[in-house]
Amino acid sequence: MIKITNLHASVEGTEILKGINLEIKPGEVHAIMGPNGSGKSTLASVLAGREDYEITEGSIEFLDKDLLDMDIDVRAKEGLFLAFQYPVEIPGVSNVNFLKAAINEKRKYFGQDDISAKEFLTAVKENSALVELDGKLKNRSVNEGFSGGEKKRNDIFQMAMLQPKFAILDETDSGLDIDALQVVAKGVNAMRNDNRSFLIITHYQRLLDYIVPDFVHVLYDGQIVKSGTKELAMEMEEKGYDWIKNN
Amino acid sequence: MDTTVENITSKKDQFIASIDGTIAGASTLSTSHVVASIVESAKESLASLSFPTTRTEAWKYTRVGKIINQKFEVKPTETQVEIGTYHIPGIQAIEMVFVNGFFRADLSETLENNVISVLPMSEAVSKYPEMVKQYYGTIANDKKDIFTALNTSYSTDGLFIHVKGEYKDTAIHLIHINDSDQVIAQCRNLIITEPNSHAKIVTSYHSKKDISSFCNQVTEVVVKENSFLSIDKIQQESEQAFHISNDFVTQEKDSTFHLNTFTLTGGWIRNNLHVHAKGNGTNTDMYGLYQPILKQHIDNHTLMIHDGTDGESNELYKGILYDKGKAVFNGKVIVAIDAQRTNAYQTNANVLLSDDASVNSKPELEIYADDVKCSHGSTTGQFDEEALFYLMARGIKKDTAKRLLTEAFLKEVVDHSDILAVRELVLRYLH
Ligand SMILES: Nc1ncnc2c1ncn2[C@@H]1O[C@H](COP(=O)(O)OP(=O)(O)O)[C@@H](O)[C@H]1O
Ligand SMILES: [Mg+2]
Repeated sequence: MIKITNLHASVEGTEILKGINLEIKPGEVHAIMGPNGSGKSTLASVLAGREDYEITEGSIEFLDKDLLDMDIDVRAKEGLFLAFQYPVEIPGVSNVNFLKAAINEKRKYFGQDDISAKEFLTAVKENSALVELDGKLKNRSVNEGFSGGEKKRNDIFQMAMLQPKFAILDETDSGLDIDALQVVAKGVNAMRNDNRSFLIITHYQRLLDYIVPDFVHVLYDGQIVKSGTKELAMEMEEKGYDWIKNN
Repeated sequence: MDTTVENITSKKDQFIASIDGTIAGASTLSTSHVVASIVESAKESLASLSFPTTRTEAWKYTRVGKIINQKFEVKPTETQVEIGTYHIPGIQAIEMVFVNGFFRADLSETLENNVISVLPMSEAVSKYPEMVKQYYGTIANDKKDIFTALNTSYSTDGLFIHVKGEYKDTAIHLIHINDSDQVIAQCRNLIITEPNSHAKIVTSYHSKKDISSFCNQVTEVVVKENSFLSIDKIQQESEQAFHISNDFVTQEKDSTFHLNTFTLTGGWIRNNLHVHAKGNGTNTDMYGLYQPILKQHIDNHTLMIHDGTDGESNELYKGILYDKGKAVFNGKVIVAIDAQRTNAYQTNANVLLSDDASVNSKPELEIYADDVKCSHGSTTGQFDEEALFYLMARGIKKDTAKRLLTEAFLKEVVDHSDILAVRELVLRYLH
């Protein structure tokens, strides 16, 4: 699905990612854990194409194409999705209207006709039910006046609508209570299949009780310093990040 | 004598002589005996007033040099006009067409019944001389503004609307087209809504591509007790067009007046909007949007005077500026000493999409009453980069994403029009 090789990225001359190697195969769920400031969001942003970062070395192959060559929107059309750590509020842009525009742009990109009104409405209904998103919220402006939990659920709702091939969830668990966390996990688990991959970024092990990963990596100071299976997450939780620092 | 003054004086004389010479002999609104005394006094004002310079406070950021250095002429025309181009798709409206400031009966539809009268001023002066005499030149102020005095002195025709009852399903659409190079068009409109009446007006201003033109229009409006009037003004002139609007409005008790100014295109524009709420319990909404590109210059000056008690005014002007576009906003609100329980709100918000674009925004509040709620705010900023990234990360192209944010920003103003066809048209012409 995606193959990251020796990725170095800097912002305003400071190197943040210092040689990341990571391969995720179709159907796999990988988790990245790491202390604050280790570069987790930077990695997610670089994958999604945020322009603030300069890639100084390395390559990323996404479905056998060069990801770094693609514009932000093209990456999304090709099937990459990022659930934001801090979803932004966009007053005046209607949630469903923009989603419809996004879906249709993607369909056009693949030479398909626009989604029918009926098909779209059915998908909205099913997917908002999946993440228990209040019916009123989907017609409002994107995230405007939403609570923290509602914003996160809205991102998962959008993910379900866009049906990506590869989804990155950047600390989707932060600021969520246990109920909301379970709802989000339910949404993600419902979408897991043999062809879809996930990269779950989290600071805490808690989320991984609900979305059980195939592999866990520890990111520290811009590098993956440890990789393992789900047991590694437990170990990290027990021993804390200092354990990594001191090794 | 100071040489610069002499220079300006002679420029002014030349500018006026060109108009005076080309209008001579024509039978126009300004030559009607019904308005003779008003015209005479306007000509006196015109003689004594000077064109404003940037030292004139109200014209600090807007230079009139580019207008008065030219020679504009009065040019009646009978040329064929492709009127379909100016029709608003889907609108239900009576269309009154003026070309170069002259009424085109061949392209228009007048209307007279017991609910409403819609006819050119040139006919209104002979059909309703008493009514014209009662209001003409009493709401507009010739004494202070040279462009208003110029209009009164040389107006050619205009739109007369007398609303007597509820005229709700159809709008009146004034279409103004400048069609000849170096033309000055001076329409003079008079709109009166009788107590408890209701009407919706759309005015749209156009000019032919690649001609230099000057539209200097004046509109006088009387909104009587408990009546409702909305005006959607759509400005869609060309790159070389100059436009000055002077709209003067008086509101009586419990009346409602809305004016939405949609400046879609144009070269150089100055809109003066004066609303005088004389009666108690009035409601006034002044909304506007602008989107200058290239070197376009758009100046909105509004004046809201609350003289009655319990009045409310809402003002919202929003602009997105591109290239070397320039916008000026000056909103003055005066709450008189007896105008207790007035609520007056004013906001001007701008988004600059280029380093070369600029805005001068100035709210002015003069409050003499003590029991009032007033607020004003002015913001100038950029589009939220985070929002742009969010939309693109969902698969939306950069252009489309920007367009969504443009619409989102201006939609509040667009939505203030009561007429769906107007809202759709304006949305279509947002950059
Ligand atoms: N746009 C940016 N400008 C400046 N510094 C940044 C920017 N993005 C990230 N950083 C810095 O890079 C480091 C990693 O940040 P981030 O990727 O957000 O970490 P994490 O998500 O793991 O907490 C931090 O030191 C942060 O301050
Ligand atoms: Mg982060």
